[in-house]
Amino acid sequence: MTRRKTATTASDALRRLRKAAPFFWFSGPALVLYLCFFVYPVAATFRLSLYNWDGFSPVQKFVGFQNFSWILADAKFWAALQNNVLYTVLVFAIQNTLALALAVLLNGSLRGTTFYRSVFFMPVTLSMVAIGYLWELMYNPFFGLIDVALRKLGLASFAMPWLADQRTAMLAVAVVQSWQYAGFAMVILLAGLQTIPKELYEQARIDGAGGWKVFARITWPLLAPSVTVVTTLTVIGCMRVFDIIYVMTEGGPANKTLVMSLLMFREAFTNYRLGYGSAVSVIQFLIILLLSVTLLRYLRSREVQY
Amino acid sequence: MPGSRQWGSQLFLSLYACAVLLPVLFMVSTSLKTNQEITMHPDHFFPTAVKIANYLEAWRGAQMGTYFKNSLIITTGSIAAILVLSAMAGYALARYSHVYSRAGYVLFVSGLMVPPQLAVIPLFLLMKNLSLLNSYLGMVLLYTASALPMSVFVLTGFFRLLPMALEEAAVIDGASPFQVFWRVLLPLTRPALAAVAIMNMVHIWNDFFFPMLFLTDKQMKTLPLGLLVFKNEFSTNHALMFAGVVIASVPTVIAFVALQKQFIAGMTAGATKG
Repeated sequence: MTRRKTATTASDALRRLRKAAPFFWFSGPALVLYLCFFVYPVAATFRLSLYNWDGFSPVQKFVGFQNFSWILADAKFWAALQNNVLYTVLVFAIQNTLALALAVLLNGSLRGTTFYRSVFFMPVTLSMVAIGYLWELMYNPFFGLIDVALRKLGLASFAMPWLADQRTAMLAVAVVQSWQYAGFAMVILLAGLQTIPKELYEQARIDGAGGWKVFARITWPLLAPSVTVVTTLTVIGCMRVFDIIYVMTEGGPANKTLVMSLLMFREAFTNYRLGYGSAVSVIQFLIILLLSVTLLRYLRSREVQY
Repeated sequence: MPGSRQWGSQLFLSLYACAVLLPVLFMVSTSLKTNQEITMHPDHFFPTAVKIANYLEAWRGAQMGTYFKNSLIITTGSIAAILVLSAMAGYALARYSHVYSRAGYVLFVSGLMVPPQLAVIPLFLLMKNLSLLNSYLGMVLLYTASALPMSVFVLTGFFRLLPMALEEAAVIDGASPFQVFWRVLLPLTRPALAAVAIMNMVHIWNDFFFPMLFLTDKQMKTLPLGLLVFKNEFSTNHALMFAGVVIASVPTVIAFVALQKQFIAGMTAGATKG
């Protein structure tokens, strides 16, 4: 009796699998590639974070959570985390304030909206390396456009090596990232603005509400879903920034722009501490995950329905 | 009053447009100067004599041509693989409803939460063991795998919007699942395919993180990585370097100018539909 039952369930399962065959023909190739070159390496990072290994020697030494306790005792890691947070705050403030202003201005039926939108978006299509070099040229203390202009305007005392000075390096890089992505954030905010019903604005105007009041009472609350997207993307992007820092400052001057991704890269690929580097990656991932989940929960709760 | 506000808006918008365009213009003009003019006459915005030779030297002498070819092969190969695999997977995940398809969808979409950096150390070892370092195939496999979460997510969403009746009619007419996919549904997903192609094209063409780790042979390097080599080899030859930067940037900018609407829609597709 029981035997027969297992036999039927087995053939049932087989039949179900055979019925699912076209599904596997279609999704199989993507699934296999994804498992081999994405899921497996991610899982291996978690495993490797519990080992000490230089990448060459035949023995990988299991050390438990020692890499993690070392990292938490490493002043460099805390400096990197702090720099990531500072970078996030700077980019968030510069990029998104700018993006919001541009989106609100473009949302009114001004002349040349399409032109402006395309110009502001254009930097998004450029390579980070190209942009990094372009802005190194802008910031160059000898022949960069910024310092040359300052000297011409009689403000020579403000001219400085922006990227080499410990006080301004981080800000200088944050400006570049904002310059590249303000247009991207603007497009998302603009799409949000265009979903707000025009009648609300007309009603407000009839009621005699001024520009600021309209913004605070109508635009800002109804824009909340787009603000959620932009905020989350900015925070995730800045907490894992690598390219632009590597190209422009390599973490300098004096580690003032050292960030977590760069620390991972140095430990793993320059110092051959693969376990330690993996552990840095894992911690960074957990921080980003925690941060984005908390942020999303908060931001979603302030989105109003209308 | 409304008139003056309009003027204020226009002023702000044109000022920021200048802030975007001036650096780019400065880059182009620098690439056409002599090195002497760049360093000795920093107050010349435009070159006194246009030096096109910088471009020829960058293309031939500094191997920009080789880097360009590598970028082109890797980008097109990856886009082709991404489109084929993610369209098939998207179709399967959207049109079949059983445990496997639900599990598959969760597996792909959870990849959206994972930054590629998290996979990089074991990936390096994997590529080394499979002798895929410094190969086109290795880069195509890597880019395709890491593009799958977003591409599958976008395409599955799109396939779900297509009415089931289309498919049922085709099946009644005796079409096989493959014919349904290829003849009936795929032509309708063209806008979503374009979005997926564009967002990945810009990313792969400009990416420098994967090539930096996996392409160490100079003959195999892509454009962004080639620029990095430039900086070490010609650190004082600014004119040559910026000719290289312009060469690397021109293809995406031209494509963007030609297809502005599709670009903006494609590159923000992941963010706006998420």
